Amino acid sequence: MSTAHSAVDIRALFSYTFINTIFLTEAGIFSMKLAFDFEIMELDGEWIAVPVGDEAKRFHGVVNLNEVGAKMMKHISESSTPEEVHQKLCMDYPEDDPKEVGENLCEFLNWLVQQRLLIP
Amino acid sequence: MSTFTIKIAERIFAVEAMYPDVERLCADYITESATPEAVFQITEEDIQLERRKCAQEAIYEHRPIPLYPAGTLEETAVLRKLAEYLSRNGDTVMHGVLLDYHGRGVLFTAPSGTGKSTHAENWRKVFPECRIINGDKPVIAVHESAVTGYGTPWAGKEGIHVNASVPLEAIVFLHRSETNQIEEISFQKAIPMLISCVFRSPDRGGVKRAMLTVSSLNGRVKFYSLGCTMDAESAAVACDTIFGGDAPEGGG
Repeated sequence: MSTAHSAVDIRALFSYTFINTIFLTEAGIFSMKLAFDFEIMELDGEWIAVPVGDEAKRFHGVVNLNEVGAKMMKHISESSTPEEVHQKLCMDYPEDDPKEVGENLCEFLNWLVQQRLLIP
Repeated sequence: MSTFTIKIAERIFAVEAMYPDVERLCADYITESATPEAVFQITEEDIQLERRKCAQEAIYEHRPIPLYPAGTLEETAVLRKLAEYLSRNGDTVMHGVLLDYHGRGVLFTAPSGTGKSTHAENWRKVFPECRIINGDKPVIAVHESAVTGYGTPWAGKEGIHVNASVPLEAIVFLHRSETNQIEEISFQKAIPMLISCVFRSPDRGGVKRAMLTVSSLNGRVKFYSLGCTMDAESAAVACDTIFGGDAPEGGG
C-alpha cells in the first residue's frame, strides 16, 4: 500500500466523507491520537472532558460534550484508527445506521482536529 | 530550617521549611496546637518542581521566565502541598477573591489580569464595611448543608488576607465589559469555569477529585456571570443582584 495516499484513497479505506487533514504513518495506516489525556465525567447531566497531565496547562479549558460525544471521546482515547472507533460505536448503537454513525464520527473528528485536540 | 504549626480552615498542619520566608508569610496563622493532622516537609526537590512549573507557565504564556528566590518558591511549594492535601480530604483551594459582605461570602473568579482585585477594591469603596478575606487563594470547604470560605496567607500580589471565614453564598465569574451587567447562571454553565478555578493536581486522580468538588457546589451556592467595567459602579450593580442591595438585619 503506497504511503502517498490521496484523499480518494483515504475515502476508499474508510467509507465515509472524511477529515481534511491526513494522518499517515510510514506504513500508510491512518492513525490518530488525542493531544492530551482526558478524564471524562458526567456532572449533573453534563459531560465534561478535562485534560490530565503536566501538559494539560497548554489547553486552557475543558471540553463540553453530550453523551454521544463522551462515548466517542472515550473510544478515541482507547483506539488508534477511526475504523476502530467506528466499530465500537456501532456496537454501542446497534440500532443506528452505521453510515450515519460514521458521518457523526467524522464530524466530531473534524472538530477535534480544528481544536488541535487530535494529532497524527 | 524552620518548623512551625499553622491553623487554616479549621485544620492544623505542621510545616518543616528550609527557608524562613514561609513562616513569615504564615505569621497570622501560626498556632501553638500540638496535634497536626498532616506535616508538610519541603525538600529541595519540591522547590525545583516549583521552579520548573514557573518556567513552564512562562513559556506557555510567552513571557520571560521569572527567577524567583528559593524562599519564594518554597512558599508556593507549601501551598501546593496544602492544596493537594485538602483536595484529598473534602476541601479545596480556589483561585479568586473572597469577600465578606455583612457576614455573607462571595467569591470572584477570573483568569489572572481580568480585574478581580480591582473589582474587590470597588466593593470596599462602595461598601466600606465589607472586607477581603483573601485576595487570591482562599480555601473552600463544602459541608453537608453549607459552603464556607476561609482566609489563607497566599493572597496574591496585593497580599490582602484575613485569618477569618465566611459562609459562601455566591461564586461570580468576571469578565471585562463596556457596561456593568450581571446574570445568574446555571450550574451547567458554570462547570467549565469552576473546573478552571478549582485546584487540581495534574494526575487523573487529582482531576477526578476536582470534578467531584465542583459537583458538590451544585445547589449550595449560586453562580453569576458579571461583565464589568473597572469603575466603582460595578460593585453596586453586582451587590444589588447577589445580595439584593441590602445588608441583612443584624449582619456584620
